[in-house]
Amino acid sequence: MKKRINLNVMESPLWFLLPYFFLFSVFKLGPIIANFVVSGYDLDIVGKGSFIGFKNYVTLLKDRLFWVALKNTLYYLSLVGPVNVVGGLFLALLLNQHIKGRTVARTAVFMPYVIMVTVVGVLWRWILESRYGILNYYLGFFGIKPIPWLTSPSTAMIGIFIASVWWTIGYNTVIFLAGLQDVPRELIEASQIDGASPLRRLISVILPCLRPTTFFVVLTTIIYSLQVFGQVYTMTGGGPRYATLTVVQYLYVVGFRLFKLGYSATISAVLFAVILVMSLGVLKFLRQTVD
Amino acid sequence: MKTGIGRLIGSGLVVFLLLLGVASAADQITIRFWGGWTGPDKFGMEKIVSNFMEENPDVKVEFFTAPWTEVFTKFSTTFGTPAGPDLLAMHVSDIAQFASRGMLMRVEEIAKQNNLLAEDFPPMVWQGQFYENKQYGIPLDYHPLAVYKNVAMFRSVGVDPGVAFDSRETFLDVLQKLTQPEKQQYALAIGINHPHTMRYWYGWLFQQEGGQFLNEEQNRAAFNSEQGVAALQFIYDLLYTYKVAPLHESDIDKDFLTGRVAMVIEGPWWIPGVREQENLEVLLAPFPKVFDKPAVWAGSHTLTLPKQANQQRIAAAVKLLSYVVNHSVEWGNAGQIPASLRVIQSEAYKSLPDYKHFKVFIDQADYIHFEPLIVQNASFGSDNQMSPVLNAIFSVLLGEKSAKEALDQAAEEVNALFME
Repeated sequence: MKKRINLNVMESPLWFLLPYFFLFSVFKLGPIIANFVVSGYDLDIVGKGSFIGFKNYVTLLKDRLFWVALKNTLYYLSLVGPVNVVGGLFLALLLNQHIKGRTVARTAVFMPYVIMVTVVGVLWRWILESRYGILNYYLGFFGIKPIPWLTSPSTAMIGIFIASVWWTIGYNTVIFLAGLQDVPRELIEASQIDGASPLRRLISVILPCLRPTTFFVVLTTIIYSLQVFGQVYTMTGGGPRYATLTVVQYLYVVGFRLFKLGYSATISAVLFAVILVMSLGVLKFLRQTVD
Repeated sequence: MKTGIGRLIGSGLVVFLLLLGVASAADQITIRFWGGWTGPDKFGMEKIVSNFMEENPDVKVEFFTAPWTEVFTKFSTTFGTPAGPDLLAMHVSDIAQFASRGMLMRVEEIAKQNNLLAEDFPPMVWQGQFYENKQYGIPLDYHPLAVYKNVAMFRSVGVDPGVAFDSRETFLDVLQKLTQPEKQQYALAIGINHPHTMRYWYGWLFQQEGGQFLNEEQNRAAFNSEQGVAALQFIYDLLYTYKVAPLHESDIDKDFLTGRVAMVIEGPWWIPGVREQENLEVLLAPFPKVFDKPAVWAGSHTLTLPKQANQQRIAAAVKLLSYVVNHSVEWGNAGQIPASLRVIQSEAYKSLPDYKHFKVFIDQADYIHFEPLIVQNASFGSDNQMSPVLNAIFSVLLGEKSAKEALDQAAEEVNALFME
């Protein structure tokens, strides 16, 4: 006698999430827990190690380069975050207009995002080269002297920022564009009939409707910015003079060049905590606003 | 009938050949050879490996090459598994990292059995293969620095391109003559983001009497000495006092190739690239002697055997190692100086079109200096962008700190590494 599948049980959305939970546990949760365990060890790349408790965390507190890396990462976030969110929204509003060549423009804005980060890094290293780069070449037309974008500690992070915004702003734009499609047309039309100016319409109708989207965009921008690595690795390697050393770049060097896996895991664990705290903070703040 | 017999014989032959193929494939052993060459030397090594396989059909070599850091990451993560390499190239400065972790085989006996003896290599290069008095590598090549001169730029200011830089005065005199700020032309490329800057300093540091990087016990920084400061101050002066090199220079090679600077200090690996530049006549000179005695920074590629249990694969890897070292003329042609004296003294090597350039590097063999061959070098060596020493040098060249101040701080940070 064949056993019948209970359709009521199958209809529960939780069942459909099971494959995701399985993959999440194996490839995300598992490594996160393992990382915390490893951070308690003085572990070498070949697996030789001894349990040292919280010693790695104590070392981290006194590690000058870690603090430099954390400061640089937060600086990067403060540059990229606002520009990527506000800029992404601005571009989405622009590309949502019924203008000629809209599809081409939308594709052009999103296109950089599909390029691999290594290609982005090499490309922008050329563009920002102080002597031969095209950016300085064009700035020269305005009488601006060549800027040592990636070779001066004071401008290197700006160089990384420019490349990053070019690469990632398209992603936020597309998310905002999707959000704009959900803004009820009747609300827009009603505000038009009421004689609201475009600015008033944006502030009072569109932005409130975009709150859940904004919430998502802000959160992902923070998470991705705190994990910045590829651009730094390919463009500056963390230099000059540690000016672009970010937390992930540092943990990479510690783990895969110096082979101090336990310590690298500690840096990773602290970064995880920073991301978690910041995300929860944003979550709380934005949820209040959304509600 | 005839046709039937013919078909039978033909089919039999095909089956026989197939069986032969299966049999020989069964006897063939596959080994992995990993290196970190990404320039013209990659093709040189590919050619040697391909020649080896032709001459040794019983061994199939899977040659893999990628940037060094990636190769070492791959090596470390596959170590102890069947996916790891059987023969691994690295720099002498990497040996300590892996030998201290028990990842490499000792090779004294293997060297003797394969007639790879100390007397067949420059003494300094051979000594570099040892970590704590135990041998872990067989030298493949060595690469000191030398000066590449743009002959046309020398002639345009009336300086003999053949001039030897055997004193500080001569060197400075030529540098000043070659610098024409009004034309945005400079004499020398130094760079603000390149490991070579540390290597120049390293070479000049050792030219001072008694100048050394670490103390005798190799466990404390000694580079912030009078000699170390003088060597770094010299580089600073080239930029800021004599103004013979561009500031904030980020691409030393391109500056040379485009005629912005008349000289660049590079290794032999750069020769094949220069060879391909049309209308660029280049002459090489040894690394400038600006202090008391000649000395130059050098690196060396070495061949190592990662520890493993499979004796058959070890034997095949040793066979390949021995072949690569003894057949490295092609390696020389790819822009590396073979370490084997038998190779560099051979007629085949001497008849290479770039031999006159290679000779400049060969002649420096007696006064090359490797960076400290100790585990901690991974943290403070010139190949690590995070190196406190490299960054101290950059801070001086950026005008942020004095040479003494920067080196003192770097010494403190290096000493802290020894305390860990």
